[in-house]
Amino acid sequence: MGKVVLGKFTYVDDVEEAIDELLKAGYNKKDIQFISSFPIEDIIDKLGGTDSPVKFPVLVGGLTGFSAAIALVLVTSLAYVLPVGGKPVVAWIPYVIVMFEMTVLLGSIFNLLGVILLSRLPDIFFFLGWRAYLPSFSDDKFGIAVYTDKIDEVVSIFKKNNVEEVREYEV
Amino acid sequence: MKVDASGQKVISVDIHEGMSPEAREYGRQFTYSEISEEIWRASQKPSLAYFLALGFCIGGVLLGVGTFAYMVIDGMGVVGFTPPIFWVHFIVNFVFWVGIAHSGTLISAVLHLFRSKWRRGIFRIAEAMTVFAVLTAGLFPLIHIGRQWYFYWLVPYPNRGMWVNFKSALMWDFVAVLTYLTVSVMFFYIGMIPDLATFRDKAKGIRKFIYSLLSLGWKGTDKEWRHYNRSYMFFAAFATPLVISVHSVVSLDFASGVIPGWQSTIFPPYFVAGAIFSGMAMVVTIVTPLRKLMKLEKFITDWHYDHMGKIILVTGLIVTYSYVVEFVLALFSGNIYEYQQFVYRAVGHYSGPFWGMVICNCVVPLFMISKKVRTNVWLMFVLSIFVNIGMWLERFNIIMISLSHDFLPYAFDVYRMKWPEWAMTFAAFCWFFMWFLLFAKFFPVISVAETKELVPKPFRKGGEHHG
Repeated sequence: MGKVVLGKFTYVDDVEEAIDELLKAGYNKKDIQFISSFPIEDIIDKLGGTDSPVKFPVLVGGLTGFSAAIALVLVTSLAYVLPVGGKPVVAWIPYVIVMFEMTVLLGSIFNLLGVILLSRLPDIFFFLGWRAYLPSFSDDKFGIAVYTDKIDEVVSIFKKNNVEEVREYEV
Repeated sequence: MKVDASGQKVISVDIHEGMSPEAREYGRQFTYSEISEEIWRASQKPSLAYFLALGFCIGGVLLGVGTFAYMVIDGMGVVGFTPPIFWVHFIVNFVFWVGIAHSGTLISAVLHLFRSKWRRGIFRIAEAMTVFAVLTAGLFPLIHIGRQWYFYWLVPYPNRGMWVNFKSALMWDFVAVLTYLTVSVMFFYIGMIPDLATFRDKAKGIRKFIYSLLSLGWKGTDKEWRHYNRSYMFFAAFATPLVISVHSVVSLDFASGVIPGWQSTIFPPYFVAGAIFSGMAMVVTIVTPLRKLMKLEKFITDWHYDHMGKIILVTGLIVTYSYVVEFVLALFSGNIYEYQQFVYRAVGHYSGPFWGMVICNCVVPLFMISKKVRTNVWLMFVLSIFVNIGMWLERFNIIMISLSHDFLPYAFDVYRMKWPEWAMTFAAFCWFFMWFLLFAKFFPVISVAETKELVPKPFRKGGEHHG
């Protein structure tokens, strides 16, 4: 069991300064969570960059779809040969369409699975109400959740940056 | 946060960066709370007009179901089949609805890649339109196959002696439309997750439970946004060529045939432009009553209509150019079959639908050259209906006139739609609008998260910070 301190803020500059101070005080980026109803690139960047490994499942999915399409068209062409008007039995140009569509299809499916798994969704603990979260974060407030045992230090950083509400959770 | 030469933190950012004056003006009129509240309110208790519209649509769908049952029991002969003209109105409707489906992904994906701000007010409606239009289009192959209980023969697997042929345009069509439907649904859903979380936090009772399930426990953490933004970008990057491929493939159903009026290399770009043209017009047709019905005038403004009008105008000009090229090629090709086909279109039995198409698709969009017209909401609504009619007639002309007047005069015939065709065409529109009305009642019709991104960020130290 660990502890989480959750702060509620109204202003973006207060959030930025609080995160800067937390990082300066030695808190790990992984232990700090910024919560907002829309993405704020500057803050996301501070806490680990805007790049995401979701590109890897997309690549794997795209390649899988492409390979599966090649296998599908080859097997269907060669397993039952239908020679028509002297045209080639394995004709690559018409097959490009099938390959493209299956690359996109599998790439997209893996993309969806990738984003869901990397974001650790569905979040069972959230359904059970065990996550540090306030409904106003999906409205007009911003949140910072810090996973730490040094409660007083975090609260003092929050207060210094005009926090409106602080809550403590056991997770 | 930047630090200047003296060590002082610099918080202000360039407010002009990446945003047009219209986008900044649009963002300034809202607060975050107002956006969440107004979009949530739109999904609350609907008006009497809403229920009347929904009742009308359900009635239309029931009429279609009854007509379909009649057709299954009595056979395909109850519709106006006149050899060599088969399946005309089913295929006309299929191609029309697949075309309608395209604009949703265009607005969502292509404009997202271009970082266009105006898409934010309407992209959710356009995406929903895509999904429901593909669902509507998908009904028609199932209806026209005749023996619906063998519908699974459409699936590409070897069955009962039939062997799939991936060199056939119909197989490409199956694969392309299925891919388009799947990708559109995923793109639609993933884009809605943050907004479903907003609804979850506002709802009570059973609605809260359903939104909780659908939003998967989304909280809006920096990690979630990081993966989400990148994933959304990949979806957009996949969907953009997909838009072009799907309607190109649909056009190849015709272009790879030998029928005069069909076998033309201009079909793929012509169909893609036509699809975007009709889809954008359908967005205007849907958005105009919807914004009134749900009191969303503040969210969908003249700014959006102006841009939608520009897209309709440009794609309308491309479509007009295609008509001219198609005609000129036929008249000067030296191919008598092509020649007679196009002369027949203009002066034959179906000259009414042909000239109706020309007026609706070539003349009507020209009014949108004027900004006054583009920013006149109700005038745009009327013009968009003309474009929709024109595009339905275009599909009718391509499919029906070519089939009725191909090579040999003894096979020429005149086709007239019977009441079951009219009933099922009407039912298709009702089916489409029924899903739309249900969607508008239960889901966020405008993106909460993306609209909030246009609002100046609140800074204690003041100033206006967009981006």
